[in-house]
Amino acid sequence: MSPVAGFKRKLRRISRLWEAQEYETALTEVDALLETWPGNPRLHILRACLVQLQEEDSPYELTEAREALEQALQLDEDSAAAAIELGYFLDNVEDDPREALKAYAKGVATARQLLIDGLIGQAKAFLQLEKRDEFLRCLQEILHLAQFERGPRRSKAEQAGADVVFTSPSGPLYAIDLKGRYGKQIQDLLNELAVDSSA
Amino acid sequence: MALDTDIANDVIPGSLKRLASYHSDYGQKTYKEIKDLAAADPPDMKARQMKKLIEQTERLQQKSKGRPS
Repeated sequence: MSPVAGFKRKLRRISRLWEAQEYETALTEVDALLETWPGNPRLHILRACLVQLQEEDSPYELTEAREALEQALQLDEDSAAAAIELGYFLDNVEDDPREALKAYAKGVATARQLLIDGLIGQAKAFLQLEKRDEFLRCLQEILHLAQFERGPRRSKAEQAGADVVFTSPSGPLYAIDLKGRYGKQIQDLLNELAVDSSA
Repeated sequence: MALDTDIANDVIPGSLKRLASYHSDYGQKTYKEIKDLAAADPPDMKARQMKKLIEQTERLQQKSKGRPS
């Protein structure tokens, strides 16, 4: 069996142990995997979660959970899963919503960027396959998400100077500044829409 | 999902019971009692903290769902 196949098989076993609420055994298995794959952020996240689920006589300290999440973020600073899990830990376990907000902000921003990136790719694929309705649904979701990339909703004066202004079905007006991170790609998709409409 | 009738001590795992935010005097309260106290005006801070621990436990226990077995 290849190392990767072996790794996946062990992850499946950990998942089964987790479902069976055998958290101590699951954590032992995760620790064993970490010996071979210390650079895997997901394993550190699993470790953090399982440490919190141990029973009273467990030798593990809760500080190890936070350390594991911070390690996951050191290994992959773009890990939305690690940042969001850290947010929950800071809020629920350390009762520190202020610190949790920082972690959530990072995780949410990363996840949103990944989602927009994926949707742009998906929209382009739908266009190639001439699936207009699906393309439009993607575009709608992209535009909705992209507005949050620029911070809070702007004033009417700022909106007036924006590249694109939309009225949402629910009423409020919002604007997209296409100069942002995804500006060019979104503009390309909108151009396709214009070409498609004029055909 | 934690049931309203679940007793806090039965849900919260031992490791989380070591925390300062775990309150043993609330350990025999049900999830519903804790939720009600947490939502009261002014909110019962002990209940708020216990509610967080219950909900964290629930989240973590559910994390295995949906993964390939």
